[in-house]
Amino acid sequence: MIGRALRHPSFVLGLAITLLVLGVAFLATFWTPHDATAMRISARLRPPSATNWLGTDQFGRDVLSMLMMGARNALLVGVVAVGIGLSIGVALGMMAATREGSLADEAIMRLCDFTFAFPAVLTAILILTFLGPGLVNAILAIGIFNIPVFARIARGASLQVMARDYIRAAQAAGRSTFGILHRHVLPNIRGILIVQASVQFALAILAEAGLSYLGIGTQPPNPSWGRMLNDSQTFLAQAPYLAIFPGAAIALAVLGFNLLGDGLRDVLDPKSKER
Amino acid sequence: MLRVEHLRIRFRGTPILRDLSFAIDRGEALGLVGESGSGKSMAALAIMGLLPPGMEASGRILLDSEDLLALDEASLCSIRGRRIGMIFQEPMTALNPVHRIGEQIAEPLVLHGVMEHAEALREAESLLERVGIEEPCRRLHSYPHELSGGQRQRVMIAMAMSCKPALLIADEPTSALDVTVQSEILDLLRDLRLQEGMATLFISHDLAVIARVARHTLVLYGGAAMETGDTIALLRQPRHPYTQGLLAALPHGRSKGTRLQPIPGFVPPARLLAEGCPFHGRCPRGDARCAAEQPPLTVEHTRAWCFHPGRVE
Repeated sequence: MIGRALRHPSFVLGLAITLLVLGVAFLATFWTPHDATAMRISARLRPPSATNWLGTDQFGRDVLSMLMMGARNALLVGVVAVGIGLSIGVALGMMAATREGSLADEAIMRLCDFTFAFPAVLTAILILTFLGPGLVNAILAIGIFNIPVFARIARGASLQVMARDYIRAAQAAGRSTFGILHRHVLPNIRGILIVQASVQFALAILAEAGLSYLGIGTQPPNPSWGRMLNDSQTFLAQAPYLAIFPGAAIALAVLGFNLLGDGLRDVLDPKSKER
Repeated sequence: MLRVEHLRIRFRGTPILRDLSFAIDRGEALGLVGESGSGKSMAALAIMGLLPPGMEASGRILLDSEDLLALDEASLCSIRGRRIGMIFQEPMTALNPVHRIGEQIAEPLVLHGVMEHAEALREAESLLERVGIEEPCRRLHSYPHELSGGQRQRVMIAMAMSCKPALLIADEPTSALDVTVQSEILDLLRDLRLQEGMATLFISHDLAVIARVARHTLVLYGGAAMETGDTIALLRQPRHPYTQGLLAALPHGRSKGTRLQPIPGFVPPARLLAEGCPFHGRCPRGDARCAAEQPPLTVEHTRAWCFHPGRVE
C-alpha cells in the first residue's frame, strides 16, 4: 500500500506540501528567525532582504516569522474544527442511518438542512458576535459548521453500505448494531470521510483566514494569515509582498490538503490494489 | 432440532406468511421451494430474528425447544452465528471488501468467545481447507475482490460453519453461480452437513437444486404451504396443482419435442390474496370454495393443502 501510495502523483505532492506546512508549524514552536510579535518601527515595510527574508510589515515585524506562527494557528484551527465536525457529525449521521425514516433521523437531517440554509460565514459572524471574537470561538463556530457536512455524508454512505449483503451476514453472525457500525460500516466509509476531512480541513483554514480578515477571528498580537492579509491592504501599492506571501501560504496549504485527500481516496480503496 | 409451529408474518396487517409449520432433525435437510415473493426468505429471516422493521411474526420457532420468537435482541445475537449459521445468495457482496478473508472467517469465533484471535485465525485456515480453498494459508490474507464467485461462496460457507452451528440456513446459496460451480458447492454443503450433523434449511426457487440436497421438500406459494413431503415422492407424483404446474414448466428427458407448460397468470401481490388458497386464481381446478376457504390438509404419499389434490390434468 505504501509503494502504491508513493507512485500516486497527487498524493505525493499533497503529502509533501502538508508535511512542509506541518514541519514549518512544528519548527515555529521552537524557533523563528525573529520574534514574530516584536515590533521595530525603524525597520517598517522593508522589502525582502538577507535579514528579513520575506520583508517586514508596517510595524517592522518579520513576515517569515509571522507566516510560520500563522501556520501553527491554521493547523490548530483545522485539526480542532474538523475534529469537532468529524466526531459529532459522523456519530449523528451513523445513528440517523440505523434508524432511517424514524423521528430521530428526520430531526437530525432537518437540523442539518437548517444549518445549510444559512451561508456559513454569515452565521459564523453571527455566532462570533454572540460569543465574542477570538480564536477559540472562531474554531467553535467553524467546527459547528462542519457537523452537518459530516453528518450527511456519514448517513448517506452508511445507508449505502448497510444495504449490502455483508451487513446481513454480520447480523447473521451475531454482531450487535453498534458492533456492525464499528467494524463493518465505519471501515467502509472511512475513505469518503478522510477525503471529506481533508477538504474540510482546507475549508477550515480558509474560514479562519476569512474570519481573521474580518477582524473577528484570531486577535492581535497572535499572527494569523487572514489578519496579515487584512493588514496588508493599506500598503498594497507600497509593499505588495505583504499580501502575496500570506495569500500564497493560504493557497499552498489549501492545495496541499485537497491533493492529499484526493490521493488518499485512491490509496485507501482496496480495490485499486495492484495484482 | 428446529421446529417451526404456525409461523405467521404480517406487514402492516397484510399477511406475508400464513401458518407455516415444519421441522428439521439433526443432519437432515429441508428444501423450501417457492417463487420470488412466496415468503421463503422471510421465513428464514424470521428464524434468524432479522425481519425488516414493520414485519411482525407470530407462532413459535423452537430451536432445541427454546422459542426464538420470545427472545430479546441480546439473546438472539448470541444465537446468530453461534447456533444458527446463514449463507446468502450473492457471494460477490456478502463479504466485507475492507477486511481480509481470514479476519472475516475468524470473526464469529472471536465474537462469540469461542477462541482467541490467533487461535481463530488458525481455525480459519483449517476451515478454508475444509471448504476446498487451495493454498488456505495464503488466502487468509486475501481480500474478497481477489477471489472468484465460487471461492467467495466457499468462504461464506466457512464463515457460517465456523462456530459449528446446529442449524444452517442456506438462502439460494448457488443461484448466482455457474452451473459447474453450483454443483461443487452443493456437494460441499451435503458433505459438511453429513460430517457435522447440522440441520439444514435450504431455500431455493430451483427444484433441481432442491432435489439434489434435501430429503424433504416444502413448496410455498403466496405465503402459504402448498405441499410437503419426501422430495423424491413429491417430484415423481406431485398431488398439488401448483407443484404439478411447476414441474410441467421444467424441461426434462421426456419433454423432448413437446412444449413446456407455463403456469398461466402471474403471482398476485400479497395484499390481494384472500382467505382461501393463494393459488386459486391460476389453478386449473380452482373453484368458488378454493377462493373462500382455507384448503384442508390431505395426506397420501405427500401432504398437500388442497380441495382437489391428486389428479394430473
